[in-house]
Amino acid sequence: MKKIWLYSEDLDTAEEMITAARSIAQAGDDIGVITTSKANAEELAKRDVVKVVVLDGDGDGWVEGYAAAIAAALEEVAADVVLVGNTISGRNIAPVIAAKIGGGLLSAASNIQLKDDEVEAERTVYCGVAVSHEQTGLPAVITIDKNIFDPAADEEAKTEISIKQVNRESRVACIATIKVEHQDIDISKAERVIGVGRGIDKKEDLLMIDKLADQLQAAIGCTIAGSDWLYKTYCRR
Amino acid sequence: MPKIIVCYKWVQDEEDIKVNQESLTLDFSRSKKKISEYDKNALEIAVQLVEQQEGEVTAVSYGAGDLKQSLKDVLSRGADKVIWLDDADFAKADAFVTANVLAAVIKKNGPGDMIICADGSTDNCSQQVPVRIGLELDLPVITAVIAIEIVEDGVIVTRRSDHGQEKLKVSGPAVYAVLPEVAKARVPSLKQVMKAAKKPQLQMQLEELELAAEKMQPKIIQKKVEGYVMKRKNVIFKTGNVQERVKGLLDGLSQEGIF
Repeated sequence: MKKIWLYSEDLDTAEEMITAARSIAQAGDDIGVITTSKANAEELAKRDVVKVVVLDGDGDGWVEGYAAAIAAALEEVAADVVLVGNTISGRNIAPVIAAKIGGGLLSAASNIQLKDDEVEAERTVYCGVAVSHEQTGLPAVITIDKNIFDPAADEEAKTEISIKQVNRESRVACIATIKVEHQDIDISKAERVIGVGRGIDKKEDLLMIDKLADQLQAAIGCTIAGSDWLYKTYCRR
Repeated sequence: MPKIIVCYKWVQDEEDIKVNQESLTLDFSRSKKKISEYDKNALEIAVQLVEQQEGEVTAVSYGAGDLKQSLKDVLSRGADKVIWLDDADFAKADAFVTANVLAAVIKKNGPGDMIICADGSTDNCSQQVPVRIGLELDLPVITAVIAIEIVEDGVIVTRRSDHGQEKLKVSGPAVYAVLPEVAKARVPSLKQVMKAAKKPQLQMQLEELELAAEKMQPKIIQKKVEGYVMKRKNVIFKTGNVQERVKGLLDGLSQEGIF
């Protein structure tokens, strides 16, 4: 019987991680949820999991400051596998968990297979040129991109919620959170995405893409190379 | 006068890696080695900070037997000195081992005020080495950094977050994992290239680090790597005027069920 735990500070992603956990779990395995949000905990507790642990800190902003507390909680429950949403904060928190529980971290993994004493998965390498097939022993941490798994629906479960008081990393203080232009554009949720690459000659030509996007009611995405070149204010990658 | 360490990786240029469409094997014969693209941005911000405030930039790298070829480039880009460690078994090193070696090298030579890394490398891109270095050195780590400003009593960092941006105030030494937009990498001038030849290069050996055996034991085993082949439609709308070509594109998208 394995203990599969999951973490994401984002509710939708946490719900997707529940589905991801179920996709690798076998009969008798436990699935637990860890979160830094009380509101998210209330919602996640409606899913059929064994436990929801809330790490209650001192406020908003820079959730990565709780990485050590999250890792310590997962060490305490002796997690065999920890699934983390591959968000900006998830990418920071996952290695902290891996180091604390003494495991390997498979980042941005897909085709995950949990075996008796190891995990196998695939990862994109060389900026998308190739796929690496990798394995690591247990315990293991895996980050998973958004929108690969469907979010687990409300199952009207009444999972036990336990709350732990924790402290944030004290050497770093969050002094401001800033809303940025285009923040409302989330290509992971867009119905249509126009992919833009370096086939565009000049920055001015992006206006054509903007017009096309308006016509199609689409979001604009681009390759890493494209975003590094000139689209970074437009795109999410 | 900040003392800044910049970690870099000597990688295959991914743009010249060819994929055999049948066997999915990778052909590296035309791919030269380079400093991982985003490490150039990390080095640039470090050099800019030192240019503003004086100080020193030390580049640090752990790599394969050909790592020596990287030294001239990294010194031309503004590092004041380079510390490097090549290892015949580097190909087996995962992010855990790499971070342990880099942290040990940094510990031996003094962590300075800031350790700057790219958020990820252009080859393996596991995006965990900076965080693991910070843990080994017991330093806070700030990822997704897009701006760094040194102030009188610390460092102000702007970083991307999942909801926009955050401004953080950091007290004391820390690890910064930067995104490419933190600073546009320079093209070294002839003068900088000439100057690079006179800068110090310190080679270290693994034995000097006295790392425990378990710290050199990779957590991740790579079983195989296969080329990724994307199936493309390869349709170009060439005939007619702009309006007709746009109509062709829209009709094509419609036929594919895009809308």
